Amino acid sequence: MNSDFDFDLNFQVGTSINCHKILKSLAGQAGDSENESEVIEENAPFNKMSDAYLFAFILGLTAGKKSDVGKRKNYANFIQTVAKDIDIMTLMHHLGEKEDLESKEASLKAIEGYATWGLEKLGKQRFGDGKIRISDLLDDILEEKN
Amino acid sequence: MRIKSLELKNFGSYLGEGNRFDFDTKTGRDGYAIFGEIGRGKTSMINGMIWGLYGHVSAQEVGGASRNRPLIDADTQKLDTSFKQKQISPILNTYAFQEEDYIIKVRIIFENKGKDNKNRVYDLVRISENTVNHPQDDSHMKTTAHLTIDGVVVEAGRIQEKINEVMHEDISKFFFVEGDVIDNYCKLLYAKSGDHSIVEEVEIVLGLPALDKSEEDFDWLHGETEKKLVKAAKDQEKSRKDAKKVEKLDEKLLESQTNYDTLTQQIEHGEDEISRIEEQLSKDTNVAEAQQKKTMNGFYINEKNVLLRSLYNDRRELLSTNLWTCMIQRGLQSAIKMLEGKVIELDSLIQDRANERSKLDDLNRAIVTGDHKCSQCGNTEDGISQKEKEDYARQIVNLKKSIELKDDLINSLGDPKTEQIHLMRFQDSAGHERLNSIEHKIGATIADISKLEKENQKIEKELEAHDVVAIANLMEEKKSLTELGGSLKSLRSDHKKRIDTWEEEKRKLMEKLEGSVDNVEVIEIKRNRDVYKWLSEKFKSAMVGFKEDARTKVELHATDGFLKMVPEPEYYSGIKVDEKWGIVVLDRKKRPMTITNPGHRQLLALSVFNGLRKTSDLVFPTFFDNPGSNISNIEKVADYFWADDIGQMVMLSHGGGLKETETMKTYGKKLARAWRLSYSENSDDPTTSIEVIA
Repeated sequence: MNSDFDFDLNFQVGTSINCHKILKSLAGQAGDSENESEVIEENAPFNKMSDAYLFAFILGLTAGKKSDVGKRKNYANFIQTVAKDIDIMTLMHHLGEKEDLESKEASLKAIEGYATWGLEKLGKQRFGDGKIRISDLLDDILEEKN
Repeated sequence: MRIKSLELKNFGSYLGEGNRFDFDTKTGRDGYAIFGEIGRGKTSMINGMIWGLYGHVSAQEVGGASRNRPLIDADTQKLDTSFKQKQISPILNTYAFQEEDYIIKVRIIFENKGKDNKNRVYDLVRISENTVNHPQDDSHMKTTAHLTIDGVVVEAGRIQEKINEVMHEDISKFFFVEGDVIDNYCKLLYAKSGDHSIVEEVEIVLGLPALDKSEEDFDWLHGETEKKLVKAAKDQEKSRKDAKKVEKLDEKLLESQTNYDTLTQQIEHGEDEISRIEEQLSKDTNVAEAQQKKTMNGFYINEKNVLLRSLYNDRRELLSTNLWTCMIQRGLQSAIKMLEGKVIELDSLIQDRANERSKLDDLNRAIVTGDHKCSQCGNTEDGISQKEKEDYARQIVNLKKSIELKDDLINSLGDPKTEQIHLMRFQDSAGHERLNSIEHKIGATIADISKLEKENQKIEKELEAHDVVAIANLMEEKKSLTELGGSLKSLRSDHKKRIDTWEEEKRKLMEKLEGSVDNVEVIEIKRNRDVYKWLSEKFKSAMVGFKEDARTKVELHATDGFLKMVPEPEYYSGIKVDEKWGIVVLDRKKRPMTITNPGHRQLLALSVFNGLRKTSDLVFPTFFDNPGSNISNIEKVADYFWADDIGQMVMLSHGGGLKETETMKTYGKKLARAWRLSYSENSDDPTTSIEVIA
């Protein structure tokens, strides 16, 4: 937690319903099970939904792009499940927009916006059949940012 | 064989009489050139030669099938002059047909050196004439041939035999080489061990069957002398009984030998059948191989799947670490750089603030103590003026304001150094490369698996089409033939034993007879018989060596020609000829190599052809139609063949490879003769006219 701010990121994050499905698929999980250890698809790129959520969030943050969450589906506590000991506020302070950290509510909205955009981007890749190329996606994103 | 002249009447594009080529040589050399665009009569000229010699010319239909060209075909010749609708044009010139002149005539005068080394002049005329007033097809035509050798007429029934003695039709293709279809000739290059036809033809060119025949002749002469000996013995009382025994033994030997030969034929036929079946069964072997391949592919697919699972696992593990940091590196660098600026600014502000504080202290002290330190000499004077005090007080106020402002700025800058250290913890971009490598391997492995699976699907389809019953029948047939072959061999072996026994018996009787008949005539017969026997045995052993020598000579000549004609000879070391006349090209390290360039393949075929031509004692004219259709450096070919002096070499060019102007400039003086074929000046009359240009 960054001491420069008078709030923390201890809140429940989520994403759109559609991106929640993508999130599960990225971690090789089917159905509505939220059991993180249950990897069904062996060619899925992530071990856990939390890894996929963090990756999608950083993807959006790096690209500087957010998506409107719309009808929201709750996923997990951000600090406890996703960020853990990573100083996300410092990253957002330096890489994000000024208003992202204006308040706790603004930071929640920003995190979900970045993550949703990232999940949509990952969802457009053909994950699941083993042909997804995360490295290509990274190249594209870094190129765009450049 | 040397062509002296060729005359054509109404043959192909040659209309009427007077179409004559004289192959006399003014230069003493044997290089001839005929130039003419497509359709001007070059191929007609060669076909005229072939028709004159053998009475028919074959041509290929559009579909590829080969058949004899008809002499006449009224359906097309009545109206159409282009024959575009017909796949094969008839031999009779169309204008001749329309003028109702149905006579086709070819006259070839040539010389040939016979076995007795004597040169004879052959005058061969072949004529086709109509048997009805308005012939419609070949059934209304009659073809006859007339031949004189040194002016002596050869009877009609023996003409073809005499021509074949000079140049057998089977081997004529080695001398009438069509550039456009030379690839057919290239089959020499792929002659497999089972391709007897090419072996026989090559051996005919090299005269090997003549030697076989000589061996048979000596065997026959040996037998005849023995018969004379037995006849002489029968005339004497003391040896009559033994002579009769020999005659009886001869009868039995003849019968047994006939049976032996028949059995040998049957065995060979059976073996040919077995070879045919084995060839078909080899497809079955292919099936077994395909099944094995499928199993191996399955094994590889499993292995690749294991690898793929491991790669997926590696990727998941990598993406579960802080791989995402690679995405923020660029932003991170900008932030760290910005913080560096802040650190510099902060340090500067702190330094400035310290200076101002120090100056503030000095001014306060001066006002309180009244001392003033000279800025020039450093001496302290007692007391300061009121005006100076007021000035110091103003400065103090300003400094305090400035220090306060700096305090605010320093506070607003925060702690950029700590922030820098904080951000530096996220500096890590190595994961991207590793991810790239893993995903590349994943892609390659998936592609490998897909390829193997497709291969297996294809194999499965092939296996479905496989006729198991037919294979079983073939196996059964092969088994029966093998058993029959075994029985026949056993029978033949019995005959052989009998033959050996009777021959031994006969040999003893002959020794006895030889001792009992000793007049001069018999002694002469005995001497001849021994000579023939010796010659027969010598021929048998010499044949093996002769074939080997011939092959070596063909190799040497073919290599010489190929290396002289091919554009980049440094890539090759030579040509190897195997026992079945299969050809292998060797690279510079003498390893077998495959030649795919069509021009090089043509050169290879020409080189082998030239090797045969030079090795053979037979001298023939060679007609090379359209050289350079695929050969880029035809000049080298012309250099090589026209420098040759072992027979007439006629090159017919449509200008695609060998160009008239350049050729005449370079070789004109060296050529024996050169002609230009063109259409008559009247464009409505597209018949060939022959012009001598050298």
